[in-house]
Amino acid sequence: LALPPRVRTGIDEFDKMLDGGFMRGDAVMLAGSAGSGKTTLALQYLVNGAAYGEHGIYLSFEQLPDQLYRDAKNFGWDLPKLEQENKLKVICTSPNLLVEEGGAEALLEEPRKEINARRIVVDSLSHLSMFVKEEDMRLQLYRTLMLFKAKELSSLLLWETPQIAGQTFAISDTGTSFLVDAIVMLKFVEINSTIRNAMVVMKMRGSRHDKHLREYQIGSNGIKVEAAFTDYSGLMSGSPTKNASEKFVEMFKSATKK
Amino acid sequence: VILAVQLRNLLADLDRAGSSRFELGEEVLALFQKNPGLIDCPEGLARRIGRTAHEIEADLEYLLTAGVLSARSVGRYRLMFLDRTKVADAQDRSESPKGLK
Repeated sequence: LALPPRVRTGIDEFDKMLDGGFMRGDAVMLAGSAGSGKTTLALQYLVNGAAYGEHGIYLSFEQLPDQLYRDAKNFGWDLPKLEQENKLKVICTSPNLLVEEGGAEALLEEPRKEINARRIVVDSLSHLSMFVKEEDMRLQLYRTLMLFKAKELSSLLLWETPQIAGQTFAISDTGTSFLVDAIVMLKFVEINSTIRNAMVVMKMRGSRHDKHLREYQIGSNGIKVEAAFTDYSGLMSGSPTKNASEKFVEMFKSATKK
Repeated sequence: VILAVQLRNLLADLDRAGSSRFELGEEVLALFQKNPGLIDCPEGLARRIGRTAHEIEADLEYLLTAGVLSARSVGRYRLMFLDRTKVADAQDRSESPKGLK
């Protein structure tokens, strides 16, 4: 049975932003600073995938599986149960092993076959870049992504951007952003002295996608995408300003109150 | 849970056998018990419990010999992982009258 051309994340509004989901087989970079919800979104992608019959592998370089199990449990996701049901595999290893000759095959081929995996999360590329020489990173990543594609795995690659506040668009220094098919950015923005979460699809090769910065919340069921920040400009800088029309409306409201 | 029980029984069996490596191996074994999806080289495993590869080298060899861990070579590295089948077999042996001794 042919799989649908789109890989749904299961996060309704996010899938709408992606015109139905990621393109099947694509390598997607999910960039964001620490605490922005990359791991949560990635787990949600796999948990929802399991519900759609698209099993997945979570390849972690840093976090141990027991930490992931605990964090996922807070969102009501029972990862050990999914593993027992052969819908998910959590693999934890050192990043240098993935890029060693034959490493990716040795680490992933058996679990991929065992659960007939269609999705993979790599957590994270930034951790991988710590173990691979800068000049080799692009080539090694290209080889790994091609292997994922050859195995018909739709990959979600996590990338930790350095800054928590301000401009966070130095996505990667090694040109890795050119190798991926799509880039989704999670970032913090400060509005009225409050930190809010913004999400944007920056690139999606061969597909239409929403260009708006959308707000998202990390709730008890995971990530929920909400409305676009239409009233503000300069969000990418991390310090947005209200649009003139909005300022006028506020001034008008304030005047009528008086 | 089953795996945890199997490993605990195996450890108890090794302890009864008076293994000098019991305490040292327990630390590594606990890491695998909590994280059965762990597959790493000695350096990576050691890093995850705040030790050096040299410190846990003998423990890993012991657990490989005991049949709890399995190893596979990848390029310059030796990957080690929990062999759930072997653990189950070891459990069966420990439950038999002769046990592992």
